[in-house]
Amino acid sequence: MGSVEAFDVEERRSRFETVAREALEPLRRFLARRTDPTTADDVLADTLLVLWRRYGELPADVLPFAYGVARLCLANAQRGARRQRRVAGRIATLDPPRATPEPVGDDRLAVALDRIPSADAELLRLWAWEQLTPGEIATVLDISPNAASIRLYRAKEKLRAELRKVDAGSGHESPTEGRSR
Amino acid sequence: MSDHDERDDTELLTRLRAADPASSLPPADPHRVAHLVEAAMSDTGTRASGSRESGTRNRSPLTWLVAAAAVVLIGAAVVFGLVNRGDDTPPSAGGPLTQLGYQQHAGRCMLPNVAVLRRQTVAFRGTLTSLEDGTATFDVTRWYAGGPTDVAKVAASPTALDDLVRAARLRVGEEYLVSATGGTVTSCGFTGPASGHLQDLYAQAFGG
Repeated sequence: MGSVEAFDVEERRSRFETVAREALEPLRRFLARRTDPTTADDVLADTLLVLWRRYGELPADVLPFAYGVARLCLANAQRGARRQRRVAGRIATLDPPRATPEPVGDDRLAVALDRIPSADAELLRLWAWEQLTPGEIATVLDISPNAASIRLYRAKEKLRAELRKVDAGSGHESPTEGRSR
Repeated sequence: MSDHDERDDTELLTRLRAADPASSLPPADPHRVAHLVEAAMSDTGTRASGSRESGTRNRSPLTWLVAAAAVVLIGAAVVFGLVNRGDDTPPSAGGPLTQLGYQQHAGRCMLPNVAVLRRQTVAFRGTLTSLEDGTATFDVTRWYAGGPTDVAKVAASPTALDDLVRAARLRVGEEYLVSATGGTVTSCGFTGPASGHLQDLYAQAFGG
Protein backbone atom coordinates (compact mmCIF):
# COMPACT_ATOMS: atom_id res chain seq x y z
CA MET A 1 0.00 0.00 0.00
CA GLY A 2 2.78 2.30 1.05
CA SER A 3 4.57 1.81 -2.24
CA VAL A 4 1.40 2.40 -4.28
CA GLU A 5 0.79 5.60 -2.37
CA ALA A 6 4.38 6.68 -2.90
CA PHE A 7 4.01 5.96 -6.61
CA ASP A 8 0.84 8.09 -6.75
CA VAL A 9 2.56 10.96 -5.05
CA GLU A 10 5.55 10.72 -7.36
CA GLU A 11 3.35 10.53 -10.43
CA ARG A 12 1.33 13.49 -9.22
CA ARG A 13 4.48 15.51 -8.55
CA SER A 14 5.91 14.63 -11.92
CA ARG A 15 2.73 15.61 -13.77
CA PHE A 16 2.35 18.81 -11.82
CA GLU A 17 5.94 19.76 -12.49
CA THR A 18 5.35 19.42 -16.23
CA VAL A 19 2.13 21.43 -16.07
CA ALA A 20 3.65 24.11 -13.82
CA ARG A 21 6.72 24.57 -15.99
CA GLU A 22 4.54 24.98 -19.07
CA ALA A 23 2.23 27.46 -17.38
CA LEU A 24 4.89 29.41 -15.53
CA GLU A 25 6.13 31.69 -18.32
CA PRO A 26 2.64 32.62 -19.53
CA LEU A 27 1.63 33.25 -15.91
CA ARG A 28 4.69 35.48 -15.36
CA ARG A 29 3.71 37.51 -18.41
CA PHE A 30 0.09 37.64 -17.32
CA LEU A 31 1.18 39.11 -13.97
CA ALA A 32 3.84 41.41 -15.43
CA ARG A 33 1.10 42.98 -17.54
CA ARG A 34 -1.01 43.69 -14.49
CA THR A 35 1.12 44.53 -11.50
CA ASP A 36 4.56 45.52 -10.19
CA PRO A 37 7.42 42.96 -10.23
CA THR A 38 7.38 42.29 -6.47
CA THR A 39 3.65 41.65 -6.32
CA ALA A 40 3.90 39.59 -9.53
CA ASP A 41 6.52 37.38 -7.88
CA ASP A 42 4.43 36.84 -4.75
CA VAL A 43 1.26 36.17 -6.69
CA LEU A 44 3.02 33.72 -8.99
CA ALA A 45 4.01 31.67 -5.95
CA ASP A 46 0.44 31.87 -4.58
CA THR A 47 -0.97 30.81 -7.93
CA LEU A 48 1.28 27.76 -8.18
CA LEU A 49 0.31 26.82 -4.66
CA VAL A 50 -3.40 26.97 -5.43
CA LEU A 51 -2.88 25.02 -8.66
CA TRP A 52 -1.03 22.32 -6.72
CA ARG A 53 -3.77 22.17 -4.12
CA ARG A 54 -6.39 21.98 -6.86
CA TYR A 55 -4.43 19.48 -8.89
CA GLY A 56 -7.40 17.15 -9.16
CA GLU A 57 -9.44 19.86 -10.88
CA LEU A 58 -6.90 20.92 -13.50
CA PRO A 59 -8.48 20.66 -16.95
CA ALA A 60 -6.63 19.41 -20.03
CA ASP A 61 -6.21 22.99 -21.18
CA VAL A 62 -4.61 24.30 -18.02
CA LEU A 63 -3.68 27.82 -19.00
CA PRO A 64 -7.07 29.60 -18.97
CA PHE A 65 -7.85 27.91 -15.64
CA ALA A 66 -4.42 29.00 -14.32
CA TYR A 67 -5.03 32.58 -15.47
CA GLY A 68 -8.34 32.51 -13.61
CA VAL A 69 -6.57 31.41 -10.43
CA ALA A 70 -3.85 34.05 -10.90
CA ARG A 71 -6.48 36.72 -11.45
CA LEU A 72 -8.12 35.98 -8.12
CA CYS A 73 -4.78 35.64 -6.30
CA LEU A 74 -3.73 39.03 -7.68
CA ALA A 75 -7.01 40.66 -6.67
CA ASN A 76 -6.64 39.22 -3.17
CA ALA A 77 -3.05 40.46 -2.89
CA GLN A 78 -4.01 43.94 -4.06
CA ARG A 79 -6.96 44.06 -1.70
CA GLY A 80 -4.69 43.02 1.18
CA ALA A 81 -2.17 45.73 0.25
CA ARG A 82 -4.89 48.37 0.14
CA ARG A 83 -6.11 47.26 3.54
CA GLN A 84 -2.59 47.48 4.98
CA ARG A 85 -2.22 51.00 3.63
CA ARG A 86 -5.50 51.97 5.23
CA VAL A 87 -4.44 50.45 8.54
CA ALA A 88 -1.12 52.27 8.31
CA GLY A 89 -3.09 55.49 7.97
CA ARG A 90 -1.77 56.36 4.59
CA ILE A 91 -4.20 58.04 2.28
CA ALA A 92 -4.56 56.01 -0.85
CA THR A 93 -5.32 59.00 -3.01
CA LEU A 94 -1.96 60.51 -2.16
CA ASP A 95 -0.15 57.31 -2.94
CA PRO A 96 -2.19 55.53 -5.57
CA PRO A 97 -0.77 52.17 -6.56
CA ARG A 98 -0.45 51.77 -10.31
CA ALA A 99 -2.27 48.47 -10.50
CA THR A 100 -1.92 47.95 -14.21
CA PRO A 101 1.31 48.60 -16.09
CA GLU A 102 0.66 50.85 -19.04
CA PRO A 103 0.90 49.73 -22.64
CA VAL A 104 4.41 50.35 -23.87
CA GLY A 105 5.19 52.94 -26.52
CA ASP A 106 1.64 54.02 -27.30
CA ASP A 107 0.47 56.75 -24.97
CA ARG A 108 -2.80 57.28 -26.79
CA LEU A 109 -3.67 53.61 -26.46
CA ALA A 110 -2.83 53.84 -22.75
CA VAL A 111 -5.19 56.80 -22.36
CA ALA A 112 -7.98 55.06 -24.28
CA LEU A 113 -7.61 51.84 -22.26
CA ASP A 114 -7.72 53.87 -19.08
CA ARG A 115 -10.96 55.57 -20.12
CA ILE A 116 -12.98 52.43 -20.78
CA PRO A 117 -14.36 50.41 -17.84
CA SER A 118 -11.67 48.24 -16.23
CA ALA A 119 -13.64 45.04 -16.92
CA ASP A 120 -13.62 45.89 -20.64
CA ALA A 121 -9.91 46.69 -20.58
CA GLU A 122 -9.25 43.34 -18.94
CA LEU A 123 -11.20 41.50 -21.64
CA LEU A 124 -9.08 43.22 -24.26
CA ARG A 125 -5.85 42.36 -22.47
CA LEU A 126 -6.89 38.71 -22.30
CA TRP A 127 -7.76 38.78 -26.00
CA ALA A 128 -4.71 40.63 -27.27
CA TRP A 129 -1.94 39.96 -24.80
CA GLU A 130 -2.79 36.48 -23.55
CA GLN A 131 -4.16 35.75 -27.03
CA LEU A 132 -7.18 33.88 -25.72
CA THR A 133 -10.33 32.93 -27.59
CA PRO A 134 -13.70 34.01 -26.17
CA GLY A 135 -14.16 30.45 -24.87
CA GLU A 136 -10.86 30.65 -22.99
CA ILE A 137 -11.65 34.14 -21.72
CA ALA A 138 -14.89 32.68 -20.39
CA THR A 139 -12.88 30.17 -18.34
CA VAL A 140 -10.62 32.89 -16.92
CA LEU A 141 -13.51 35.14 -15.92
CA ASP A 142 -15.86 32.30 -14.98
CA ILE A 143 -18.58 33.47 -17.33
CA SER A 144 -20.32 31.76 -20.24
CA PRO A 145 -18.59 31.71 -23.65
CA ASN A 146 -21.57 33.56 -25.07
CA ALA A 147 -21.25 36.32 -22.50
CA ALA A 148 -17.49 36.51 -23.14
CA SER A 149 -18.09 36.92 -26.90
CA ILE A 150 -20.64 39.66 -26.43
CA ARG A 151 -18.59 41.53 -23.85
CA LEU A 152 -15.44 41.26 -25.93
CA TYR A 153 -17.24 42.66 -28.97
CA ARG A 154 -18.54 45.59 -26.91
CA ALA A 155 -15.13 46.17 -25.33
CA LYS A 156 -13.52 46.41 -28.76
CA GLU A 157 -16.18 48.91 -29.84
CA LYS A 158 -15.58 51.01 -26.73
CA LEU A 159 -11.82 51.00 -27.20
CA ARG A 160 -12.16 51.96 -30.87
CA ALA A 161 -14.47 54.81 -29.93
CA GLU A 162 -12.06 56.07 -27.25
CA LEU A 163 -9.11 55.73 -29.60
CA ARG A 164 -10.94 57.82 -32.19
CA LYS A 165 -11.53 60.51 -29.57
CA VAL A 166 -7.96 60.42 -28.28
CA ASP A 167 -6.49 60.33 -31.77
CA ALA A 168 -8.74 63.19 -32.88
CA GLY A 169 -7.84 65.19 -29.77
CA SER A 170 -4.17 64.82 -30.47
CA GLY A 171 -4.56 65.74 -34.13
CA HIS A 172 -3.78 62.30 -35.47
CA GLU A 173 -5.90 60.31 -37.85
CA SER A 174 -4.05 57.08 -38.24
CA PRO A 175 -4.14 54.77 -35.23
CA THR A 176 -0.55 53.73 -35.82
CA GLU A 177 0.83 57.20 -36.34
CA GLY A 178 2.64 59.36 -33.90
CA ARG A 179 3.69 56.87 -31.28
CA SER A 180 5.47 58.82 -28.67
CA ARG A 181 8.13 56.25 -27.96
CA MET B 1 -18.24 39.00 -38.83
CA SER B 2 -17.84 41.21 -41.90
CA ASP B 3 -14.54 41.85 -43.68
CA HIS B 4 -14.67 45.35 -42.29
CA ASP B 5 -15.00 44.06 -38.71
CA GLU B 6 -12.18 41.59 -39.23
CA ARG B 7 -9.92 44.33 -40.58
CA ASP B 8 -10.81 46.55 -37.62
CA ASP B 9 -10.09 43.66 -35.24
CA THR B 10 -6.74 42.98 -36.85
CA GLU B 11 -5.78 46.66 -36.56
CA LEU B 12 -6.81 46.78 -32.93
CA LEU B 13 -5.04 43.51 -32.15
CA THR B 14 -1.84 44.68 -33.85
CA ARG B 15 -1.88 47.94 -31.96
CA LEU B 16 -2.51 46.27 -28.60
CA ARG B 17 0.11 43.58 -29.13
CA ALA B 18 2.71 46.14 -30.12
CA ALA B 19 2.15 47.79 -26.73
CA ASP B 20 2.39 44.61 -24.64
CA PRO B 21 4.27 45.57 -21.45
CA ALA B 22 5.49 41.98 -21.06
CA SER B 23 7.09 41.83 -24.49
CA SER B 24 10.51 42.63 -23.06
CA LEU B 25 10.19 40.40 -20.00
CA PRO B 26 13.26 38.14 -19.87
CA PRO B 27 12.65 34.43 -19.23
CA ALA B 28 12.64 33.35 -15.61
CA ASP B 29 15.84 32.11 -14.04
CA PRO B 30 15.64 28.26 -14.23
CA HIS B 31 16.75 27.98 -10.59
CA ARG B 32 13.96 30.31 -9.57
CA VAL B 33 11.46 28.24 -11.58
CA ALA B 34 12.61 25.03 -9.94
CA HIS B 35 12.39 26.66 -6.52
CA LEU B 36 8.87 27.99 -7.12
CA VAL B 37 7.53 24.67 -8.37
CA GLU B 38 9.19 22.75 -5.56
CA ALA B 39 7.91 25.23 -2.97
CA ALA B 40 4.34 24.76 -4.22
CA MET B 41 4.60 20.98 -4.13
CA SER B 42 6.08 20.92 -0.66
CA ASP B 43 3.23 22.92 0.81
CA THR B 44 1.73 21.22 3.81
CA GLY B 45 -1.75 21.83 2.43
CA THR B 46 -0.84 19.32 -0.23
CA ARG B 47 -1.34 16.41 2.10
CA ALA B 48 -4.77 17.71 2.89
CA SER B 49 -5.53 18.02 -0.78
CA GLY B 50 -4.15 14.54 -1.40
CA SER B 51 -6.55 13.24 1.17
CA ARG B 52 -9.31 15.21 -0.45
CA GLU B 53 -9.36 13.10 -3.54
CA SER B 54 -10.47 10.13 -1.56
CA GLY B 55 -11.91 12.37 1.10
CA THR B 56 -11.80 9.59 3.63
CA ARG B 57 -8.69 10.04 5.70
CA ASN B 58 -8.43 11.52 9.15
CA ARG B 59 -12.13 11.31 9.77
CA SER B 60 -13.31 10.26 13.17
CA PRO B 61 -15.95 7.56 13.60
CA LEU B 62 -18.28 10.26 14.90
CA THR B 63 -17.96 12.12 11.60
CA TRP B 64 -19.01 9.00 9.75
CA LEU B 65 -21.93 8.46 12.10
CA VAL B 66 -23.15 12.02 11.60
CA ALA B 67 -22.64 11.79 7.85
CA ALA B 68 -24.51 8.49 7.63
CA ALA B 69 -27.38 9.87 9.68
CA ALA B 70 -27.55 12.92 7.48
CA VAL B 71 -27.55 10.85 4.32
CA VAL B 72 -30.45 8.78 5.62
CA LEU B 73 -32.33 11.92 6.57
CA ILE B 74 -31.81 13.59 3.27
CA GLY B 75 -32.29 10.45 1.21
CA ALA B 76 -33.37 10.99 -2.30
CA ALA B 77 -35.11 14.23 -1.48
CA VAL B 78 -32.01 16.30 -2.05
CA VAL B 79 -32.97 19.50 -3.70
CA PHE B 80 -30.70 20.00 -6.63
CA GLY B 81 -32.40 23.23 -7.56
CA LEU B 82 -30.36 24.80 -4.78
CA VAL B 83 -27.16 24.43 -6.66
CA ASN B 84 -28.23 24.62 -10.28
CA ARG B 85 -26.53 27.47 -11.97
CA GLY B 86 -28.83 30.22 -13.02
CA ASP B 87 -28.80 31.84 -16.42
CA ASP B 88 -25.68 33.13 -18.04
CA THR B 89 -25.99 36.48 -16.40
CA PRO B 90 -23.43 36.68 -13.62
CA PRO B 91 -23.86 38.93 -10.63
CA SER B 92 -22.67 42.42 -11.28
CA ALA B 93 -19.07 41.74 -10.47
CA GLY B 94 -16.14 43.44 -12.09
CA GLY B 95 -16.97 46.88 -10.77
CA PRO B 96 -16.39 48.05 -7.22
CA LEU B 97 -19.39 46.12 -5.97
CA THR B 98 -20.86 42.64 -6.23
CA GLN B 99 -24.65 42.66 -5.87
CA LEU B 100 -26.37 39.52 -4.72
CA GLY B 101 -29.87 38.59 -3.71
CA TYR B 102 -31.32 36.03 -1.35
CA GLN B 103 -34.49 34.02 -1.18
CA GLN B 104 -35.62 31.72 1.54
CA HIS B 105 -34.92 28.17 0.62
CA ALA B 106 -38.17 26.24 0.49
CA GLY B 107 -36.94 22.66 0.03
CA ARG B 108 -34.71 20.40 2.02
CA CYS B 109 -31.00 21.03 2.17
CA MET B 110 -28.07 18.91 1.17
CA LEU B 111 -25.03 18.70 3.39
CA PRO B 112 -22.46 21.36 2.58
CA ASN B 113 -19.77 19.70 0.51
CA VAL B 114 -16.77 20.48 -1.65
CA ALA B 115 -18.30 19.42 -4.97
CA VAL B 116 -21.23 21.78 -4.58
CA LEU B 117 -19.04 24.61 -3.35
CA ARG B 118 -16.90 24.32 -6.45
CA ARG B 119 -19.96 24.90 -8.60
CA GLN B 120 -20.76 28.19 -6.91
CA THR B 121 -20.30 31.14 -9.25
CA VAL B 122 -19.53 33.48 -6.36
CA ALA B 123 -17.58 32.57 -3.24
CA PHE B 124 -15.78 34.90 -0.89
CA ARG B 125 -14.64 35.51 2.65
CA GLY B 126 -15.60 38.85 4.12
CA THR B 127 -16.50 40.84 7.17
CA LEU B 128 -20.10 41.89 7.63
CA THR B 129 -19.84 45.67 7.95
CA SER B 130 -23.50 46.59 8.05
CA LEU B 131 -26.92 45.05 8.18
CA GLU B 132 -29.51 47.68 7.43
CA ASP B 133 -32.11 48.82 4.90
CA GLY B 134 -32.66 45.28 3.68
CA THR B 135 -29.00 44.87 2.78
CA ALA B 136 -26.11 42.94 4.27
CA THR B 137 -22.81 44.53 3.26
CA PHE B 138 -19.55 42.59 3.28
CA ASP B 139 -16.05 43.96 3.08
CA VAL B 140 -14.44 41.17 1.09
CA THR B 141 -11.06 39.93 2.25
CA ARG B 142 -10.65 37.02 -0.15
CA TRP B 143 -12.30 35.95 -3.36
CA TYR B 144 -12.51 32.27 -4.21
CA ALA B 145 -14.83 32.55 -7.22
CA GLY B 146 -16.49 35.41 -9.06
CA GLY B 147 -15.81 39.01 -8.15
CA PRO B 148 -13.27 40.25 -7.48
CA THR B 149 -14.66 43.42 -5.93
CA ASP B 150 -13.92 45.09 -2.60
CA VAL B 151 -17.50 45.05 -1.42
CA ALA B 152 -20.38 42.60 -1.80
CA LYS B 153 -23.96 43.43 -0.90
CA VAL B 154 -26.82 41.02 -0.38
CA ALA B 155 -30.19 42.68 -0.79
CA ALA B 156 -33.39 40.87 0.12
CA SER B 157 -36.89 41.39 1.40
CA PRO B 158 -37.09 41.92 5.19
CA THR B 159 -38.42 38.38 5.71
CA ALA B 160 -35.77 36.81 3.53
CA LEU B 161 -33.01 38.83 5.13
CA ASP B 162 -34.19 37.80 8.59
CA ASP B 163 -34.02 34.22 7.41
CA LEU B 164 -30.47 34.72 6.14
CA VAL B 165 -29.44 36.39 9.40
CA ARG B 166 -30.68 33.34 11.29
CA ALA B 167 -29.40 30.74 8.83
CA ALA B 168 -25.92 32.22 8.51
CA ARG B 169 -25.80 33.65 12.05
CA LEU B 170 -24.97 37.11 10.74
CA ARG B 171 -23.56 39.64 13.17
CA VAL B 172 -21.94 42.90 12.19
CA GLY B 173 -18.17 42.81 12.63
CA GLU B 174 -17.86 39.03 12.23
CA GLU B 175 -16.23 37.24 9.34
CA TYR B 176 -18.21 35.01 6.98
CA LEU B 177 -17.84 32.66 4.08
CA VAL B 178 -20.46 33.43 1.47
CA SER B 179 -21.32 31.60 -1.73
CA ALA B 180 -23.90 32.18 -4.43
CA THR B 181 -25.13 30.89 -7.78
CA GLY B 182 -27.18 32.78 -10.35
CA GLY B 183 -26.76 35.93 -8.25
CA THR B 184 -28.49 34.39 -5.24
CA VAL B 185 -26.78 33.51 -1.97
CA THR B 186 -26.75 29.81 -1.19
CA SER B 187 -27.78 29.11 2.36
CA CYS B 188 -28.29 25.61 3.72
CA GLY B 189 -24.96 25.76 5.52
CA PHE B 190 -22.95 26.87 2.47
CA THR B 191 -22.87 30.43 3.83
CA GLY B 192 -21.93 31.03 7.43
CA PRO B 193 -19.29 32.11 9.94
CA ALA B 194 -15.71 31.71 8.68
CA SER B 195 -14.63 28.99 11.04
CA GLY B 196 -14.58 25.26 11.66
CA HIS B 197 -15.90 22.81 9.13
CA LEU B 198 -17.16 25.45 6.69
CA GLN B 199 -13.72 27.04 6.61
CA ASP B 200 -12.19 23.62 5.89
CA LEU B 201 -14.68 23.03 3.09
CA TYR B 202 -13.87 26.36 1.42
CA ALA B 203 -10.14 25.67 1.73
CA GLN B 204 -10.62 22.25 0.16
CA ALA B 205 -12.87 23.53 -2.59
CA PHE B 206 -10.80 26.54 -3.59
CA GLY B 207 -7.29 25.66 -2.55
CA GLY B 208 -6.69 28.19 0.16
